[in-house]
Amino acid sequence: MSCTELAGPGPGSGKELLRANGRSAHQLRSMQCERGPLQRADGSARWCQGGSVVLAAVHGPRGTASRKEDPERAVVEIVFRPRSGLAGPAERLAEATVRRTVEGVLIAALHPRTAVTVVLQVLSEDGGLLACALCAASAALVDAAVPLARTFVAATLAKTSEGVLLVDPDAAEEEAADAVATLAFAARGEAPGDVAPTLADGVLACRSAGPLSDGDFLAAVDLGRAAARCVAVFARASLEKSLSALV
Amino acid sequence: MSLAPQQALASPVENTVVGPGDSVLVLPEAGQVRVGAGLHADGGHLRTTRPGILRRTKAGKLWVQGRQIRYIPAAGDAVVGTVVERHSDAYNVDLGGPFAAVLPALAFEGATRRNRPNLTPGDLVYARVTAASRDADPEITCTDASGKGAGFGPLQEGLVLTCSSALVRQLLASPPPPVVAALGAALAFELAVGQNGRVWVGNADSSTVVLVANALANSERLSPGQAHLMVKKLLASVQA
Repeated sequence: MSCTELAGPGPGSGKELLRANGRSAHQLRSMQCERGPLQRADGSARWCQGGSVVLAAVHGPRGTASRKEDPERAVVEIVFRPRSGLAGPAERLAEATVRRTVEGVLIAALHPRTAVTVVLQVLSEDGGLLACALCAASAALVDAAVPLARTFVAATLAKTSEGVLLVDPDAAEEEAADAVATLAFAARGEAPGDVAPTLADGVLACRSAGPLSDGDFLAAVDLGRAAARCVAVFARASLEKSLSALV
Repeated sequence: MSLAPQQALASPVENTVVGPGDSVLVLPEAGQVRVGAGLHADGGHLRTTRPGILRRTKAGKLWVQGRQIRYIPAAGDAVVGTVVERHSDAYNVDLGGPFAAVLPALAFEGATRRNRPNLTPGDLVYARVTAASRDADPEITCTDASGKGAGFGPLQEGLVLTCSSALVRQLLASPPPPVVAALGAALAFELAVGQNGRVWVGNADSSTVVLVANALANSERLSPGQAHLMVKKLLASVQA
């Protein structure tokens, strides 16, 4: 699917079901990425996906306590802080997901005995929080210039009780949905001079909750890949804009 | 296709923005590609590991010009370090990288066992990185290759400014950048630029040192005209 198809027919055209805010079923919310908002972190980014906003800070590669260090590669540590209250099991699950995703793209062998720490702070929540946090982490890692083999992007999908798959649900849609899935895909420019990044085969991370039949799950992966492609194009455009001063 | 050994291959995306993992060159079976910072060979492609602008040096080496705050030591860099520990025959010096560097106590010009500099934790040194492998702590020295001082050594008094690799590259450019030229025309001070993102300003009274440090910190994203204007305003505000 191309980006224009995914952007939807537009409100009022009557072509597909309209969601509460006028979006079509496969339409993403507006995204914003601010790179380098924090002065003291080695890399930082603020990612807004509709009403969900996550601030990510990266510190590293830096030395760490000897009991945590690995003599052959850099260790990845994630701290996920909710908007209010203390971090609990849900945050620990999010940390584990983000950690494995980052480990899938970081070239850890270049910095043995060090740690790369990513701190994710939720600033506001409106559905699709894990995908927003993953995109923020990716943008912050790129800003920190830690060695990466690929970047990654994420998208959220929800399956309503009528069996319709919605892309990028907000909080109300997530609450009402039967199943919600967050998918992350690795991306990089495959050939020299590629304008848009290409998503790698396979899924980098997948976290789903709720019943999804095999067919539904595979449809969700396809739809998630198309949505993630749009997110990757946006992330790339944002990177080019932030680096345009250096050119 | 065979190439003369001196002819380095050019990339189709030179002087454009590249992201991490992007392919910049399809590696041929024969030929020479000179590779610098931020690039590695992956499969049949030369790929980036960090974002930036792909540049080619005059010698034909491809590298990624980016903006980084954390310093990763590389042999040959001139750095400004802070002594953190003192041992019997070496000092541990913080360079702002993942690990502290080792500075042998005799690695100064004219140092012997009886006559050597007496550095305490907190002192600053301007040194040269001699060894930086990923598995060991980096090593630095305050002499050049022949054993002479060459400007390296302890730095007395002054202020250390932390900055990004992009600003350091601007400050080390020749001819000097407009902000340094404008400051040098009006004030007398000494500057030591460390490739680890630390810039020492000293050998002047405190108001001059603070003014120079502020001007340098502000100058990263300014055009030459803006830099001149900023320096002029700072000088006017001090003299007022």
